[in-house]
This record gives sequence, structure tokens and C-alpha cells, in this order.
Amino acid sequence: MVGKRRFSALKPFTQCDRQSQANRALSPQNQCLVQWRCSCFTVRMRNLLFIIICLKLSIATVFGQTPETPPQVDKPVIESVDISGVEERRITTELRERMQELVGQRFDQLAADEVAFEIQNAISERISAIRQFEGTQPGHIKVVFEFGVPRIDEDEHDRNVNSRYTVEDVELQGVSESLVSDETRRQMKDLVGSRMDDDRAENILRRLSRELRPSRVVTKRVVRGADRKYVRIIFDVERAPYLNFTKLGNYFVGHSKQSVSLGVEVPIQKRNNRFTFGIVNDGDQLIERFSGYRLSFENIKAGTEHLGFRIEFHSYKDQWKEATQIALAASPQVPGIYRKRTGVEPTLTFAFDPRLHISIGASVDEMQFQYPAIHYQNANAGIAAVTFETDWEDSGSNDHNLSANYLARAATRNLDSDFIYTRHYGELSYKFTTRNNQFVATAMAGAINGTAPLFERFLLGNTSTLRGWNKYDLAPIGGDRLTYGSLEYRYSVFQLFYDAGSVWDKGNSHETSHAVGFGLHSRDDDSQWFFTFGVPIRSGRIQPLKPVFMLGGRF
Amino acid sequence: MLFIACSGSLIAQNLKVRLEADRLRVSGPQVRLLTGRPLDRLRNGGSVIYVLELTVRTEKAGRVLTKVKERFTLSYDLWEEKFSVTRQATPTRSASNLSAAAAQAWCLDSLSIPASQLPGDRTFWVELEYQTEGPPAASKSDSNLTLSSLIDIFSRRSPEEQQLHDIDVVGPFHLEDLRKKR
Repeated sequence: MVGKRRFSALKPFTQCDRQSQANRALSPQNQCLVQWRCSCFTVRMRNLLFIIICLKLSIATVFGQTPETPPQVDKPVIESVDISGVEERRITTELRERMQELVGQRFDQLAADEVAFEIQNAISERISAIRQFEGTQPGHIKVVFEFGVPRIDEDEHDRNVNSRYTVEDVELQGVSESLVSDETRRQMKDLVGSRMDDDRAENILRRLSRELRPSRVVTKRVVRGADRKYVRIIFDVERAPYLNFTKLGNYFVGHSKQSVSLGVEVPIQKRNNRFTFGIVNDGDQLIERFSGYRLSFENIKAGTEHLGFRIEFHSYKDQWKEATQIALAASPQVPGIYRKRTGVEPTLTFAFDPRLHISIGASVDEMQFQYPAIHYQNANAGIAAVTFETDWEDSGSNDHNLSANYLARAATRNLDSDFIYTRHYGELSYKFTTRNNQFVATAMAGAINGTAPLFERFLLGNTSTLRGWNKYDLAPIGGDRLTYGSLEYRYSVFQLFYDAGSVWDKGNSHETSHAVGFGLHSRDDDSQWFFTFGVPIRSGRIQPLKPVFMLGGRF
Repeated sequence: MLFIACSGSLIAQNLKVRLEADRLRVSGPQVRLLTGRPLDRLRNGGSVIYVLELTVRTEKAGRVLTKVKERFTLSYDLWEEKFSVTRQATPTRSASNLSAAAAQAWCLDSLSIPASQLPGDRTFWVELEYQTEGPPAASKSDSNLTLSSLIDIFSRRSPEEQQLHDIDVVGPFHLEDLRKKR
């Protein structure tokens, strides 16, 4: 590499010598400068080219792309041409001769089409298929023109070439059959001896996954049987991971009164470790708009699959709405605004099983305050969290999902914190799904005792809570008390919702705010897209002329 | 940026365009349909539906002049270790005992546009879009936001269904030049 650099650096001087006539008018210093710039530019270009080639090769290696070109495929030679679905006597000598013209030629779809349609016109019968089968020699094929009504049984699964094989056996590996319902076992048994049907096998896979979740995951394999006529279907069951990686999340959300927010994360994962870099510009989640980056490292198997740890570092710049600053001036007991926030958050998580996790850790945040003079203050807190999530299927094949989270943060002088407070937050969510109908109920509650910085305070009125309200109209500096509930009904992608909640400061009076709305919502839990109109209810009246429009996706 | 531009241009060269029997056809030894999760599914005995769309445009991202779209069901014979393809159109067209490259070539060969639909007086670009079956991805030409397109977007159930989606664009071509190359 060093040698290459030297070689590249020397050559441009000779090129520059040729330009010496042009440079003669320049001073000696400027001539040197021109020569130096000339050489540097060439070196840079060569290095850039080298880097491009290296990157190209390394990307190809990482993603398993081999640079060599696959072999060009020659078209097969037609060994014979036959007709099916038509009585022999209806095929005239001319038609037979026409078909024979194809024999010995390389297969050409247009030529085959021409012959097929000539036959179709001659016998007034509709062609249903042109099929190519393997010939007796390599590189040779047999062509068959099928006429008449297409086979009724030819649906998606019959187009699977393996449907010609018989299922020899259906196995459940990795778990006792006693854990599976009688109906699923019956369906597995019914497959044995029948033609391989991938759709039926997939249905059984879905049933098994539903019945064995969340502690186990199921995959399906189809392998050769003992004889060439048979295949075996194997359902492999493995224990589900106790811990999953935390997602910082990719999202883009827009609120008609709060502008847009977005977050992008780039994870690099190897086995049980994941490093994530994320950038964020968010005016949705907190009272402030924070923008900056965050880095995290997470391990989900620290010696045992029950234990994991994670450490996150973040650095944000903060912007504040005028409404917040005005409200702060009237609330001297609430700490002021800060310009920057930098923090680190190490946590240790223990999983009792895939559903129940307990985390403990610390959160150290340093904020740069602007008033009365620029100074720094810390909010250092101990963290404890309990999360529980489970889903199940009832006898009527309806899906249920229940999740509950509790998070406590305690900032004390022992942790060298300038803010002394405890923060409790709980959330409960239940989802019921039956065919295209889905019902979602959510409840949240929170309380802060002591004096917490603004990023810890509760808020309502963003793209996910009290949809229809603007958080800066409702509580521009948030509150230290929170109650919230939401009911939502979804049919296919359409949604109707009713949200109600209140956020206030202890000792102050408060009233509950309500909102209703409708919109579109994705059916996929992994990537949630929404397109929603929310309308506030003030003094018991829906105010359709003051709607809030929200759209976005979290994935 | 330069790297992205270079890699983009290299990818674009993967698609070969020719005029054969007065029809525009494409071939692409480096277009990889059989790869990744769809290939895993095929090798596990499942079938995968591929949607291929050949589009002729005025410019690289210009107006659509003509296009043809075909759906193919592919499966992999576990015993023969060969691919089978069925074109989902009437009349059905199928081929079996194909290698991976042959199966892919067979699909591409089934896409063609009559030369009569190509502009004779100006250059054009050729775009090949291929994806496995799932909800249709927003096409570059479908910029209008309609209720049905929104429902399509929101109805996407699982990213697993969208396992492969790629677009190759080549050009510009002139009809006369393609005729001379024959």
C-alpha cells in the first residue's frame, strides 16, 4: 500500500513537467503548489478508484455475490412434439407435418406459439397449455400441446412439481406431540399418504406456530422420502430466544400541528451481539424536539440465554416551542429548558421466560442549560423495568395478545444527580383479533414525585396518544401525573378510535380530554403504517373543524 | 456518490436487450431471480410466484410507452434437483427439469414486446422489474395516491412475503440500431 502510494505520487511530477511551460509565468512557490496539487489530485483519484474496487469486491463477498458470470443457457433442442386432449383423427396430415417442422430445432417460444395457434384454428379447439418435458438426451425436450378445458384441479399448489410425490411421513421434531392439539395432529396424520400439498403443510405450520408460541418457534422442511415416489415433511421445533434485541426503531411520523419526526437505525449484528447506530430528529415523543445520534451495543446471551445487557450512548440537541417557554415562565417549579442532552444508559436484563423480563440499570444524562447562565446539570437515575408479553389462541381460532410494562426511575443524591425524583410509569395493552376484525385497548398511568427534568415529564397529544389533540395546546410543559386510555376497532385496514386522558401537575386541578378519529392502519405488527384523522372533543362536543391529521410508519 | 454511480452503472449493464423475430426481448445472465429466501423456500419444497414486468420508457425514469407483465410459478423438484416453471397465463406454458440458469432464462424469454410498439423515431429505455409475489410495490409510474393504492400499502401483512424486488434499467436504445445488431 505504501509502495503503491509512492509510485502514484512520483508519476504525476513527470506529467507536470510537461506543463512547466505553462507554469513558467508562475512564481516558484506557485509552481510547486501547482505541482503538489496536480500530484495530490491524481493520487486521490487513484486511491478513490482503488477504494471503489475494494468496496465493490467486499460488498460482493459480504452479500455472497460471486463476481463471475453464470453460464449462458442454450435453448434446448426439440426431440418430439405431441398433442393431448384432442382425438387423433382430428389431427390432419398437414398439421402433423407442421408440428414435425419443430423437431430438431432449438426451442423458440414464438415458433411454438405459431404452430399451437395454427392447430387451434384448424381444429376449433382452445389450447390450454404448452408444456416442455425432459427429453431422452441432455439438452433435448419433448413439447406437448394440451387442448381442451384446463384441468380443474390445477391451482397454485398443483403448479408445484413436488405435488406429484406422495407424503411418506410427517414428523414433529424437538417437542412432544402431546403439546399439540388433537386437531393439528389429525391434520398432520391426514397428510400422510396424500399428494404433497405445500398449502396444507403451510397451514399446519401456522397452526403449530400459534399453538407453541411464544416459547417455541417452528420451521418446516420437505425432504426426500425412502423411495423416489415419496417425500417427508418435517416440522422442526426450537425453543424461542429468551431475549430479543431492542429496536431503536426506524420511523417516520408526521403530525399536522407538530411537523415531522424521523429515526433511522443501522444495526450490525453477529450472533448474540448487536451494535446499532441511529440518527433521530424527533418532535413527537417528548416535549422538546431532539435531534442527534445514538449508539448502542447489546448482548442477548451473557453466559446464559436468560441474561443480556445493553449500553446506549446518545447525544442530542434540543429545540423548544414558544408555547413551552411561555408556560415555563408561569411555572417556576418546573426546571427550565436545555440546549443539549448527552447521556449513557447501561442495563442488565433477566428473562424468566420469553414472556417475562426484568431489567435494572442506570441512566446518566447531562444537560446544558442556557439560563441564567450556561451551566450543566445531571439527571442520574437508577432504572428498574418489568415487561410481560404473551399471546394465545382460543378455541374459536381468535388471537389474543396481552402486554404490560412497568418502568421506575429514581434519581438520588447518591447517584450525584442534581435532580431528585422518582418516576413511575405503567402501560397495559390488550389486542383481540378475529379474522379481519381487531380490537385494541390500551391504558397508561404515570406519576413523578420530586423535580424531574423536562424530558422525564409525561405528555399526551402526539401521533400515538390522544390523537386529535396537539400536545402544546393541551400541556405545553407536560405534567407529573398521567392517566390515559384508548379503545380502537379495526376492520381490515380501517380503524376507528376513541382516546381519553389527562396530564397534569400534582396539586393542580385537571380535566380529562377526549378525542375520536378514523383512518387506515397496517395489518402487520412488524411494520405499522398509519394514516389517521383525529378530532378533539371539547366541552362534550366533537369539533370536526379542528381535526389533526397524522401519518407515518414505524418499522 | 461516485461509488454508487459506478455500481449503478455496472448493475445496469447486466440486462441485455435484443430484437428477435421482430420482438424486443431481454436476457440477463447476472439478473438473479433464484437467490436468498425465495430460493430457500424452493429448496424446501415450496413454490414461489415471481412477477416480471418489462417496460419501455421514453427516458430512464420517463413516460411509459409500453409494458408487459407476466407471473410465473417456480418450484424445485426435490428428487430431480431441477426447477419447474409455469407461466400463469392462458394458454399455460410450463417447463420442467431446468437448471437454475435455464429456469431464469425461460422466464425472461417469455417476456417480449412487439417491435411495432417501439418508437422508431426516438431512443427509448428498457426496464425489467422482478419481484416475488406479495402486495405490489409502488411502481415509479404509480405516483397518484388513490384509496385502493393506500389500501394496498396498508394491507401488507408480512415483510416475509416481499422477499425479492429489484429493477434493472438499460438504455438508451434506438430501434434501428437493434435491427442492425440482429
